[in-house]
Amino acid sequence: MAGVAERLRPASLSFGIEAKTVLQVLLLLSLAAIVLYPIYLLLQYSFNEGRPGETAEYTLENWRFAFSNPGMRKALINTVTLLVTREGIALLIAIPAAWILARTDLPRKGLLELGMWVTFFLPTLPVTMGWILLLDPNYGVINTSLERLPFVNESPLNIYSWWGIVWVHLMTSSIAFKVVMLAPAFRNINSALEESSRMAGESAIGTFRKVVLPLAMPSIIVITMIALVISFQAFEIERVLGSLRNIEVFSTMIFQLLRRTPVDFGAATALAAVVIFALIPLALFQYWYVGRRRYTTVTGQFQANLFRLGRWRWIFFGIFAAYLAASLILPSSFLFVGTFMKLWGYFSGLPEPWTVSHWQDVLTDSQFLGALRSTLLVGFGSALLGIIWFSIIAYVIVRTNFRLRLGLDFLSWLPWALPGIILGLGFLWMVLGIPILRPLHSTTFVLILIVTLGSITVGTQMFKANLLQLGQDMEEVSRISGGSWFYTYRRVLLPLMMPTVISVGLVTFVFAARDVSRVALLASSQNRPLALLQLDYLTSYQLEAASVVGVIIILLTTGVAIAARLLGLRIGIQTGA
Amino acid sequence: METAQPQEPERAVHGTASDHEPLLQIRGLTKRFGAQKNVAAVDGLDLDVLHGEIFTLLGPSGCGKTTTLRLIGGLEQPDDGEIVLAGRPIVSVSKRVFVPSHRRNMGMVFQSYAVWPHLTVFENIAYPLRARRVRGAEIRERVGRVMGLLGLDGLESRPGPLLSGGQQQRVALARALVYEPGILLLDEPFSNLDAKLREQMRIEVKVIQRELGITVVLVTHDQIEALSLSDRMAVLSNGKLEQAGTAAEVYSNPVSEFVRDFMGRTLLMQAAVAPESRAGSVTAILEDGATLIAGRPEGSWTPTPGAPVVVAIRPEHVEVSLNGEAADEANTMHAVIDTLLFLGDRFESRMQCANGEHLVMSLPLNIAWAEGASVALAFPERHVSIWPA
Repeated sequence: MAGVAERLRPASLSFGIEAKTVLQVLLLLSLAAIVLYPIYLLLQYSFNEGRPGETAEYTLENWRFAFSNPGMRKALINTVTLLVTREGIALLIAIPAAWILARTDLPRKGLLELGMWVTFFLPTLPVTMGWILLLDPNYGVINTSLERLPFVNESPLNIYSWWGIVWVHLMTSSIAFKVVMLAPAFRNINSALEESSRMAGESAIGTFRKVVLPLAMPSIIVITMIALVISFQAFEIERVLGSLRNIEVFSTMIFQLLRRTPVDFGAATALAAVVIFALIPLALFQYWYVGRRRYTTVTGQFQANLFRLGRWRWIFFGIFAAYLAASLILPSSFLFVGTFMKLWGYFSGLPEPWTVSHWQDVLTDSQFLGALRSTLLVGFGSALLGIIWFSIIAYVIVRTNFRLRLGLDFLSWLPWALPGIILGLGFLWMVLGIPILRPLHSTTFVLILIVTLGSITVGTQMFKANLLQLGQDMEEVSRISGGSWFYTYRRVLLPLMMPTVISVGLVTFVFAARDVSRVALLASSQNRPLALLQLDYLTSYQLEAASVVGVIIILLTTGVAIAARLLGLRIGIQTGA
Repeated sequence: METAQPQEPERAVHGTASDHEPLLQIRGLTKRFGAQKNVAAVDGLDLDVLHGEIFTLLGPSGCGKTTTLRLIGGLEQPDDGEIVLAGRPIVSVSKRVFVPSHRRNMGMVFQSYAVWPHLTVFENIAYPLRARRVRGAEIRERVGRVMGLLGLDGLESRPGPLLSGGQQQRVALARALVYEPGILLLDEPFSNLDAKLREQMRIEVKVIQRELGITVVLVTHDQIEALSLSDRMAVLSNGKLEQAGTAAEVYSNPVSEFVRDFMGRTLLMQAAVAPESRAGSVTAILEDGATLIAGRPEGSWTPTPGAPVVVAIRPEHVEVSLNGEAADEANTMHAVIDTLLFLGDRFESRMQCANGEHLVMSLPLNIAWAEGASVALAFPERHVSIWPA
């Protein structure tokens, strides 16, 4: 076999200036520019007492004001206790639920998993309104029904309470999010590992605890951390349900500062900065935990045999169905019914409560078609950008020995820790402040960029979890058989990660379609998406029209979710079945 | 485009002795792992692989053999040293050269086979050709040919996960051969197969290798595999080369205790050097006072009288006879058969020697051995070697 050297292509890059390293540095710098620079502008502003246009005057006044705010201490305690309670309950339920969904012969599990996705995608506000209609101490349907029982004297349940907040969180995304994120992690565990534990004499539960759980632990930790971070900025439920009894949390305190006139961006930024600092130890911890060991479960010899539930099949099916009925069907039907009501919430009292005029009004609104177009453009644009961007970031973090990958990891967490309105503000200042970026102001491109940032944490983590479970030999054999990095990425990595690719695209699309806070300051009258149209209706007290747009957004996102799901089933890895 | 046939063009360019010039030269290769780069997996390794041979890297797990193979394939970057392929450096730390894996034109079969589950058998094998932008008609022709060579006909549209272990290995091998690589790297290729299939694949690989004349670097921890397949082999331990040579050389003349104990079975006995020995041999006194004459003191080492030593002999060199039959007076020991296991083609036995030591060895079927029988063990002088204790 001579002629080997002749066939070696000449371009042997030297160690020092490898093209790979250059690309990695560029990736880091571009991400840093669009994440760190707006934050830098915000932090600078939080120390600046001068009004825009006046000479800068740096003080700690904003910070002092933010933290001496009365009720701050109580809000922090509430934040932590609410978070620990609901995340603890959600994890205890979601981990076994995800395993059952992924690894057993549960009937109709494709449908149940789809239901979990849709629950996770439902916009929070309408769902909360649905639960108020059910559990309000005065007129809630469940309360009035219970009061008819002989031994019940006063309304037993009150949605406007600490436990009410926990309940609505559990019924919206807390459980559903974890289930849909954990199911792929369980699905990727080689069933031979479980089976050998069973053969070694472990019971099903013992195997779950000693084999399955440790293997899925990197995913569980990452997903729990994402949930913790979201908790800091989710505020609709606390705002709506907590305000009556003064249950304030960290995010509602920020919100209050943003509601003052004049808006106190400086103090709000100071509070938001605390979340950023709290993130640093979290990011370091997960980096250390995931980095110190290797988990590869999809290799050349992958087996995925299902665990047989026996008579528990239908019991578990019943539990899943009941959860979906309560979390998905109940609130979305209320929202749907609401769009046909003359007066929102009044089922009786009016002679003729039903009408279709709200649908006519919205569909004939001159802004509607433009908003729909903008939502679709931003949604699909960010889904595409997200898939490419997040998968490359995840690849560099997981697979390379790039020295600054920890920085990249941290940057992928940051945008999620910031309240959307604050990130939007930083973006606005950046676009207006840098002359060459000024033509981008209020373009759809900027909207796509910022809503994609809104999914960067979850998208990158999903790809990271998938890559950690993907044997490196799958790529290496491609490299050695002559595939360049991009060829390997296109023909091996993306196809092997196809279920994750679809899920990330879907999440990015849905987050983009329902995003209000990030785009609020950046959209122009030309490209206002549907979510902002809904906000316009809400702020002008057209609750019925707002729910019409809400229903349209839900139909759009669930439509895309179902389409993606069907597609995903067809192009996923073909296993035995 | 890259369809070079196995031929010998332009060899003379490299010089007169080009046929003896190694295809692959490894010099001072070092790879360290760990946070502080303090664990050397490969430590200053020098190796030569010749044209058209099967060269085996043999050693226990953790000896650095797989890391060496990955360094050759470009899947790891060394911390020091260089690798020269056909006279051109493909890796050199000092010259700052690193040819990436996909430009080295090597083929590799992984221990796990790494058959892509999202592609069919045909697409798995066609992958390297598509990566090289070979035309469709030629792809079909070449994939068909290599599938025929490996007995995979009819499996073209089977998806990866629906193959048996043996079929997966054939697919992995076909994928590594289809583009006629300059070197084929095999990483423990048979370790996941059952014994029968393993023997069959071993022979098949040897036949294919001869037919194609391809150079193979094989990594294994299985010495039977190494001895039966290799033209030459290198025994590694702790990232360092212990011994390189033909299979026969390494087996019969181990140069270190490590190689002696790793390759095959060796009977070891504690002894001390006798005060006087014949020229060209060493007399050792065993613990019970019996003497053994060793014809082969190892290497440059000169035993001094009275020094503690280890006497070593391969079990297959021990001549066993039932007592009462003739036996050498010198270098003979009495023993009792302690356990006798019937293995079909031979017996496996454990002997209890007069001095209390146990020796495990095979016995032929043609003599009526029995448990409890006493036997005479003769140790031919030329096969007895002596080592520092």
